[in-house]
Amino acid sequence: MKHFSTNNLLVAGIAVVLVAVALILMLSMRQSRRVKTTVALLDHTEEVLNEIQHVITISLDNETGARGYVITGSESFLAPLQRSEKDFRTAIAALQQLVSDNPHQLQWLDSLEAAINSRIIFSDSLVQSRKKSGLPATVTMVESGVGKRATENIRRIGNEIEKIEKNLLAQRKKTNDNSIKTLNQLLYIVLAAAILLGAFVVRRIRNDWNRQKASEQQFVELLDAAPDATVMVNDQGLIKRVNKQMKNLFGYSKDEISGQPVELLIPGEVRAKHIEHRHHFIKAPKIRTMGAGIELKAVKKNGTLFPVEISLSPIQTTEGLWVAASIRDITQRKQNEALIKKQKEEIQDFIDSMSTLCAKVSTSGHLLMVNKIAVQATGLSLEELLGTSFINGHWWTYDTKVHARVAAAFQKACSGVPVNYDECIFVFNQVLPINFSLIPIFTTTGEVDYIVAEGRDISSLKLTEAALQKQTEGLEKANKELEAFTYSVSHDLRAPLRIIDGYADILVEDYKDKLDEEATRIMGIIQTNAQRMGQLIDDLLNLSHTGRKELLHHPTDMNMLVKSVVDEQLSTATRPAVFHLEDLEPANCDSSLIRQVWINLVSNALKYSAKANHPEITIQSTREKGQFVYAIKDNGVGFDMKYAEKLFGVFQRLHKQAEFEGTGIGLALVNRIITKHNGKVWAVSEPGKGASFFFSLPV
Amino acid sequence: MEPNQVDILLIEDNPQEAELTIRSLKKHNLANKLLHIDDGAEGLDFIFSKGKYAGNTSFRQPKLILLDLKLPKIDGLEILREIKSNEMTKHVPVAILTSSKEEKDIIESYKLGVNSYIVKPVNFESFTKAVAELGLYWLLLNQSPDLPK
Repeated sequence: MKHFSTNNLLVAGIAVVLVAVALILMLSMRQSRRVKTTVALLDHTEEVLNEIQHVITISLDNETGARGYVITGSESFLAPLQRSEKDFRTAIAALQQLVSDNPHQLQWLDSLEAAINSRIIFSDSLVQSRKKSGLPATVTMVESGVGKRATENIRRIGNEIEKIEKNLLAQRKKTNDNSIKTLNQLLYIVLAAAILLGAFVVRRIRNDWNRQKASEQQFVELLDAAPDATVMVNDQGLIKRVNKQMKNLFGYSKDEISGQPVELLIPGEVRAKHIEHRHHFIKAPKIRTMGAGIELKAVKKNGTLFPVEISLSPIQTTEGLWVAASIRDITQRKQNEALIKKQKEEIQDFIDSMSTLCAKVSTSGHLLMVNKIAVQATGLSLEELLGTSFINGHWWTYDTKVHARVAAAFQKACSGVPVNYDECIFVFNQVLPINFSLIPIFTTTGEVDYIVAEGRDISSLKLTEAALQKQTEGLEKANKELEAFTYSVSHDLRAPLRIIDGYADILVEDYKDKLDEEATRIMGIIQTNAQRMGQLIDDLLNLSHTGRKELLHHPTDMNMLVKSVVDEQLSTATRPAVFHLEDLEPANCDSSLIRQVWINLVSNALKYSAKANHPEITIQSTREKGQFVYAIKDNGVGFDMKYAEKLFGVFQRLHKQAEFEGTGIGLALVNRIITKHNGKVWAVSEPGKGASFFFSLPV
Repeated sequence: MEPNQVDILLIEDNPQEAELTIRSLKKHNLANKLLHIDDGAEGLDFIFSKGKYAGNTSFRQPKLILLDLKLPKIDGLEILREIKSNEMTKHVPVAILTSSKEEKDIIESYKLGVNSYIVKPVNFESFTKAVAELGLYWLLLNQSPDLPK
């Protein structure tokens, strides 16, 4: 039924109802006619029955009259008799008329008439007889029973006619009743159908109405839900309808603003112009945004201005052409735009403040952004540079090979590989070595979006490099000379010493008997000193050698190292000492050099505690933040802290040669080695209370 | 001394050094068949029967060559190389006797095939002891191969 529009349905419904009503009227009329017929029938039958009774009564009257006269002979009984005859005739006539439509009844009526006639005749004959013959003759006539029979017949026939008439009535009535019932049924059906249809139509109408109401409601809600304020203005410029946002945006309630001119929302100075525009728009209405390219402002109820974006749509309504304006508050957007602009400027300032040449280059090689230094470097202006192709920019090339290299590097960067290399390009009006960085920046999808090019003037760097190179070469040369020197020292200085010592020995040996005590002593001194010089040379050589050597770090088991050194030293010591070796932290160091350190420290400890009663030497280590500290403590002669600075100097000694022999190199060597390990050496002591030597190694 | 009965050949340019060395060896009776040549080139001539020593048909190779490194004209290492690269002479034990403790000298010498490298101590007593041990070892303890003819 859906494809029937409500209107059509309504019309059809009404038509049907009308038809139904007509039908009902028709049926009702038929009905009443039928009822009338029934009444007529009943009347008819009643009349017949009445007449029949009447006839019977007449016949009784007749009989009684006749009998009365017969008996009395009084003339007073003749009047009813005559009257009865007359009544008979009237009754018959009436009956004849009543049953004229029924031939069956007419036949009976004939019979009745015959019977009545015979009665009348008999009664008449009785009267005649009395008049003439007197009573006894008439009694004999009466006794014949003819009269009685005639009355009987009349009664009988009358009953018969009554019966028939009653049957007829019943029949006719039944037919009528049926017809009435049928009509009734039809009536009910038509009524029911009309009601159903009526109900259906009503429901449809009601649904439609509801739907319309709902869509109306939806429309209002939609309007209200819009984030922008919607204002509907009629062709006179009056506000006819607004949504909820009107209140939020402008501060007017729906009631306040309805009917007001729309110019109320527009800043005073442009109101007149707006009216003009409105008229133009009504003349040629189409959907568009308002004030393209102009900064639109609207005014709130409290008088504050705010920036807006307005779009207009013409709407044809029942009340004429309206304009629906959608007003968006773009204060936030304007603020964001301003913020973005500010940030952009900040970025530009930031990159302008950089001391390196910086540019943002598109993958096609065009300059998107250039910082101040870069602009200066080219000698052009920012406007001249922006948008131009970097690759084709001849302001920096001066050589095709250079150009090719830079172009190749740029291509590589565009393929997604960061590039960094040095190139000489023409900037700041000269050819300078520039270190180029080309960094590709990727989009979220992994493609190269643009390249950040950074150029650093490395001319000063190159100068420094050159100077450094020269210096290094100088140092290397010096080193080589030093090596040569050391070499010759080790060879050339030692040999004469050996010879001195050797010949002195020969002298002592071969001329033993010729030398006196003093001579021998002098020779001894010569020899001792020659040897000492040799030792000094060896120590010096060792020191310089160690100083020049490269460290070979590996994890070292300090316990094992120290133990072996201690055993070694003890085996050649003049006096044994008690050693307390605590658990030592392992370290990552050059174990052969550290061994040297321990050798010196342990031998020193032994040497300087040799004079103590119970020489005791303790070796321990601790772990402090970032380093291991090793300590060797003896209970020997100690030293004065006043001279502690001299401890680690070359050839510096704090004791006389006579007290303790030594070259004064040992601790200098220890210092050199530990310093090379980035550690520190120091000592703490008190004269007579032993000495504690510490060195640290980084973890 | 007959040239063909040299047990020890000492190539040393410094006469005092030589004297001390010989004295030490003498103390242990090892200097009997010792030949001292004070010139490197001459030393080579002797070894290869050239120049001054040419025509030495019945020359017998020494049991030990004591070589100093710092020699004028021809370097000690050069002499070592000559000796050790020649089929005729490379089997002869060569001990370098020098003041130099330089690592590179030691390495180079062993690379060239030196049999011993002794650093001469300054202390004469120690020197004597070292030389004696050296001599005793190479002459008495060590088995030299039979000399080719």
